[in-house]
Amino acid sequence: MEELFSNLSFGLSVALSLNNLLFLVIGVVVGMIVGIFPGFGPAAGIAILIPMTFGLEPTTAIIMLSGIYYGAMYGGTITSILINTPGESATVASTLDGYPLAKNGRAGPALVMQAIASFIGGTIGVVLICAFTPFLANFAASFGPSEYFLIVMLGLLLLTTMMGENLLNGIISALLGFAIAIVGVDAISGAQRYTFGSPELIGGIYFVPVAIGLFGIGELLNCLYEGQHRQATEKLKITFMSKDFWPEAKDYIESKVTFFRGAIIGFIAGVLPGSGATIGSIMAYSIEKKVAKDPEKFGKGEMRGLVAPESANNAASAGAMVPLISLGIPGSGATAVLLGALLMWGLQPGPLLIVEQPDLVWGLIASMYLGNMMLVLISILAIPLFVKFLDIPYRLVVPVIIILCVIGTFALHSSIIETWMLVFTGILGFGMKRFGYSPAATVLALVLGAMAENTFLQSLIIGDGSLRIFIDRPISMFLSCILLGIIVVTIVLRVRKMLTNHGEEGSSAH
Amino acid sequence: MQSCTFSFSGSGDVLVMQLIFSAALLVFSLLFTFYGLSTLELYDPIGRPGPGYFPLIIGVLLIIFTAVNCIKDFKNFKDFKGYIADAGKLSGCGGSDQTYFKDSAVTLGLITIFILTLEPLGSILSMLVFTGLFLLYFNKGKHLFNVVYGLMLPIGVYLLFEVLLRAGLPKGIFDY
Repeated sequence: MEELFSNLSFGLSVALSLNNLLFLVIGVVVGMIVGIFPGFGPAAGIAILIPMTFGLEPTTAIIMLSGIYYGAMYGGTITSILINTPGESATVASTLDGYPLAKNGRAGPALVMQAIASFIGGTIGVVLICAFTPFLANFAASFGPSEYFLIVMLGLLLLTTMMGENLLNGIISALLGFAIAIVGVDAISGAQRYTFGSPELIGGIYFVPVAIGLFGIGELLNCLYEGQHRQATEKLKITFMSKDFWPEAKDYIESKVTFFRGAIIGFIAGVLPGSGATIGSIMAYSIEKKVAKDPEKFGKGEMRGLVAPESANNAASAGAMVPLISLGIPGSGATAVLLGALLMWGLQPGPLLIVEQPDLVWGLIASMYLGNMMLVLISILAIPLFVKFLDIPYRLVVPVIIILCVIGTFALHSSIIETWMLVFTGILGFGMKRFGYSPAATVLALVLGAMAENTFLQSLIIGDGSLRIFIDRPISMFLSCILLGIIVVTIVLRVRKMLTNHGEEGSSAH
Repeated sequence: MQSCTFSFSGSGDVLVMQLIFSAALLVFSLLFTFYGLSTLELYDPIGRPGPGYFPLIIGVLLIIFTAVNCIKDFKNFKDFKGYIADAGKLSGCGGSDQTYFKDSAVTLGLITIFILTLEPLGSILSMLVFTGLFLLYFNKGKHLFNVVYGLMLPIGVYLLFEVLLRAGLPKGIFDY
């Protein structure tokens, strides 16, 4: 416990520098704005803004980018509550009771309670990060290539199985990411692969244009395709000076356990690779409804139905940092982009990062705590201001996003080829989004591609070409069993569902 | 109007687009695998996995999965066509939500023009051209607003990247 506080106070000494605080504020405010615009998640926000962090110190840049990540969770809920449109997938569960609360004339209390729930979730998440990250980093220090390869596969498999119906599309998405990652010089033999003689491709395909294309341009084209730019904006007026703006004592009392339950569920979901804030918030909502003595109130404007997913999605964002920092393995699209950013600065997340770069790790964790404090204040006091963003028609936001994407991509290496790659991956992202593929799995596989290949080949070399290496050591054996278990359970569930559907079709035909 | 009694995962246009997308991925998978096979060694001289080993695994898996998807989508499209032929009707089934493919295509075209003009015209002019054309199409009739917004946005982005971040944006033929 003493070590936890000394680490946190060291982190605070790093994060509390004027420069870091300034960029933390910029990050969380930008994150909130990113979260407010529907269809635009934190992954897109981080990817688009990476080029703007090039002049910064790595610690400052990562603090700012992380601020965008969890700031988006706060912002995304504003639209979930007010216009029943989640700003991003992790706030979908918040619409279930958030919007009915607003319809019942309790938009103000709902917005305040979501801010408090997010703050509690985020804070508990940060405390748990402090406890788990060093533990997991120590544990991971004994991992060999086979364990790392299996963890990468586990993360990707979980991410793709979470897609439910579109498991096949999820696997294809991940394989596409691996295929893109293969371009460039092979780290082991030094041979050029898929470079077609182009010197620009020798270093491989840079992940930033791909991430901006898939998440930024792809999402944007999809939003235009769905007609978001033609929707009328809703004029909303909310003021914190009004008496109706603040929650009642009953709201706090009824939700007192929910805050913590949601946070724990969310954190666990966040730590699991591929699970993340979306699953965490849905799980927290379902469990809250199950344990409630009055489940019939849920879905009709129940404050606990909003508090649970909100606390969970913020704790999950914190939880997702644990495997990212301690193993170097992200569990979602947004954390994959963050990993890519870390690698860009020459930082290799993993067990050694906490030893070699303690100022970065603890500064980042402490900044998350500070960021949550800022966000709860901003969320409550500046809600009337952020609500104004909903007045801006989407068609006027589009040119801003496109110009930032194109100019940002060009600014990376002054490369027009990378800028064209943005267009190509934008079209790919649009198709993926429309037909149920997973751009997040592609980016995750792209960022982890080199690691997956190297660890796989090293394992084969160590094991003299035998796949037994993946079950030889206890941890490898455990991970292999989990992998196999997930595959078997997924197949069994799908076959059962197919049989049930056939049965229903057969009986309806008769 | 005949009601739709058969459920499909999309309208005819969507199914065609989906089929084209799946087919494109299959073609990519085939090219990726065969190009890899023809240019990369599977094993190194001492018999260990070489530079082509991992790409081959990825390529083969991609071919299998994209082919399965392609067959699935083709079957879905054929069933839909069969149903339409039986019903003698071309509307009323699936995909009733209005979509704006033209707007996405126009935006993509404008992005292409933006990138094509980025180096020859320089960053400021290409941004002005892009924003001007975009607002002309998507924000019709609001001329004064479009002029002000169309000037302020490129200048703001230019100041951010060129002055504040010193990103080295292209200057173009007019050298600014």
